[in-house]
Amino acid sequence: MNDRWLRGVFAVGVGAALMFAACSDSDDDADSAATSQPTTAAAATTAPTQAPAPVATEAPTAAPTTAPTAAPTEVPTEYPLTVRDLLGREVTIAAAPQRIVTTSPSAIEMLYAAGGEAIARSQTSVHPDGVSDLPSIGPSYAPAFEAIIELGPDLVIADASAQAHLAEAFGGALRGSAVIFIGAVGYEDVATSIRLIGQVIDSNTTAEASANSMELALNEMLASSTGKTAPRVLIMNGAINDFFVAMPGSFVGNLVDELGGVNVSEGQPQIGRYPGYTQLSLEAIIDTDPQVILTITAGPPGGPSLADLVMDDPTFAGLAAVVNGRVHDLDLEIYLQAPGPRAADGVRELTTLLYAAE
Amino acid sequence: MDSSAGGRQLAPTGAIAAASLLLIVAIGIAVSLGAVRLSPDRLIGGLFDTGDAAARQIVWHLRLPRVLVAALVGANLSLAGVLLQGVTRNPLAGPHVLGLSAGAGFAAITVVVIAPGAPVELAAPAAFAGAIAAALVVYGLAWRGGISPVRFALSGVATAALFAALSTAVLASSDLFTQSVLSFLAGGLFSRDWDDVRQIFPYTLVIGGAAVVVGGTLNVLALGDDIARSLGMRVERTRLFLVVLAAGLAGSAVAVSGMLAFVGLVMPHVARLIVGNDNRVIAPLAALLGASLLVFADTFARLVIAPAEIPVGIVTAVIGAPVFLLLIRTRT
Repeated sequence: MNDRWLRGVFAVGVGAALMFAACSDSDDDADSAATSQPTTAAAATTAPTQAPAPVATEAPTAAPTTAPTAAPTEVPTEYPLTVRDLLGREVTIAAAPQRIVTTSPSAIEMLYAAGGEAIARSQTSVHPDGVSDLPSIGPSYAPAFEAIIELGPDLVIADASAQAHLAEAFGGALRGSAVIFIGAVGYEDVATSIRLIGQVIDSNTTAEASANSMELALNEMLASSTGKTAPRVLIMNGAINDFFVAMPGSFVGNLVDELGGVNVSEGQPQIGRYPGYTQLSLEAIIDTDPQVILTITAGPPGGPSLADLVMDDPTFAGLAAVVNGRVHDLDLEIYLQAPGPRAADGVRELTTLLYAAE
Repeated sequence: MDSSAGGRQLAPTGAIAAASLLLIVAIGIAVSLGAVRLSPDRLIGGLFDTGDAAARQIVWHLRLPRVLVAALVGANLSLAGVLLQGVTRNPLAGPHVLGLSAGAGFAAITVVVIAPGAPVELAAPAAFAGAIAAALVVYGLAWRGGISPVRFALSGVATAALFAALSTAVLASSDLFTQSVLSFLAGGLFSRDWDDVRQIFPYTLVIGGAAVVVGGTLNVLALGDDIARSLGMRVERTRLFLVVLAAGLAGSAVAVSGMLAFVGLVMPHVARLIVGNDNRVIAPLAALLGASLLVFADTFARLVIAPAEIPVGIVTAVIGAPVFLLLIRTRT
């Protein structure tokens, strides 16, 4: 109903959900485990049990610099197909899915990047263009399972980052529909997820091209910043008097890390409830003197950005980043709420923010 | 025994029959409504497994178990409230106020944090144990050669604060943060299924049944310790037994629904308003009314911003707080 209000709630609620739900099953070492877990789980994507391997996952890791067009000739998916999803669950797909429901912003963006189309979206999914018109199945942190069932999907794409804690609930509520969990704790998980979706919906060529272009974007950016000095970066998420600091284990932290940025929270203990995020005292922040501050603002849209508040706050006045005006607000969706294909734009933007001053 | 002298009160059997009917109506309405609008024949088909698979899944596997969990939680919390108000002879007593819910929540959270992979079946016994621990702490703090109801209530308030603080400390010191932990704090029934029904039902059946049976004992306690003793009751032992019953009811409720404020506090008062002071009638009536209330509240929580939903704990607080204030003002 009231979209603005809902978005405000979403910003706080799901933003938080995204942060904490990324936690891995068993590891305490949130720093590395958070990034590595989904990646390794997905790397184990198994070949179909019955059909000969149509695996499109072999080539890309070896040749990320080749142009998308150079992708291997895709073998069409043969069904029934058994895959391992980003939560490490084995899922069997009986036939090419025709009615696909997505339950998070990441899921729908990745599906479209893989060349698929959804029949329903989660409440706050507004990308890519046009999906806002699809029926909503409720918020991703509490999807209305009965609405999903009523749509009669043959594939439900859920979010391994935002909905891992709901895996059992999905299984119980949606018996009969195949459910795969995709998601991204790090940049490369996006490509992995897109390839997985492409395989599941038999859209291997499009998915491969999208995944490849993501890898290409990162490599281009890395090439463009070669030889430049990496700045010390502080990534703040929240409000000026109550914020978390993104460590390399978070999605935005991973993007900065991939680009060579030196995260000032690196090596700090992880404090608080959100894996990948920690709390740094103001004293510690001043001591590390970040050269670039990136902010993700929590709060209703239309309010001042966290970057503006940091620029005006006397506490931060002496920091190199503030003195040089290198405090930038980042898009809430791309970097926090909907890790997905738009992260390619993210690495381009971040490259400018980190290295353009040189 | 001070029975319902006032002429305004309903006859016990009539009141209980009416409340039973109310609960049945509540369950019927709750199962009929949801994020998806189902036609009557699909509803019936889903209920009796004669219709399409989607209706079956929605009605039988999603709505019905959740509605039953709501009813069982409402009944348990209300019965715990009746017991605690009887034991403390304090109209402000309730599982929430006296720290039993906080103790249960603390235990459940601790289990999740220490052993994230622990089976869900562990939640109810853990919460039961936590509630008993809280009850014993309250009892111990209040003990001074005997229990005064006022000291008991005050100890309860302190204990509730203590366990709430401990829960926060456990959460803050843990880098694991799961939605299941959140639900203990917020109170909600999202995605509750038959497993949860199975988890709480034995407690309602056995301990809830016992709570209804001991209504007469509560009536004797209500006369004051001296008279109770003169009637041959071992007052302290009885009180402890009743508190343990209340802990079982509150703990099992918290294990499946988290902290739901006001249900346990308000429902005994509503029941008293209807049938007077006989606890033998108040207990079953409060259970039925509490069950109905929570079923209605959860239906509202599911529908108000469908397909999204709000935690039912918000609804019970919004209803419960003003009702409680109203009761206090009209009764004193």
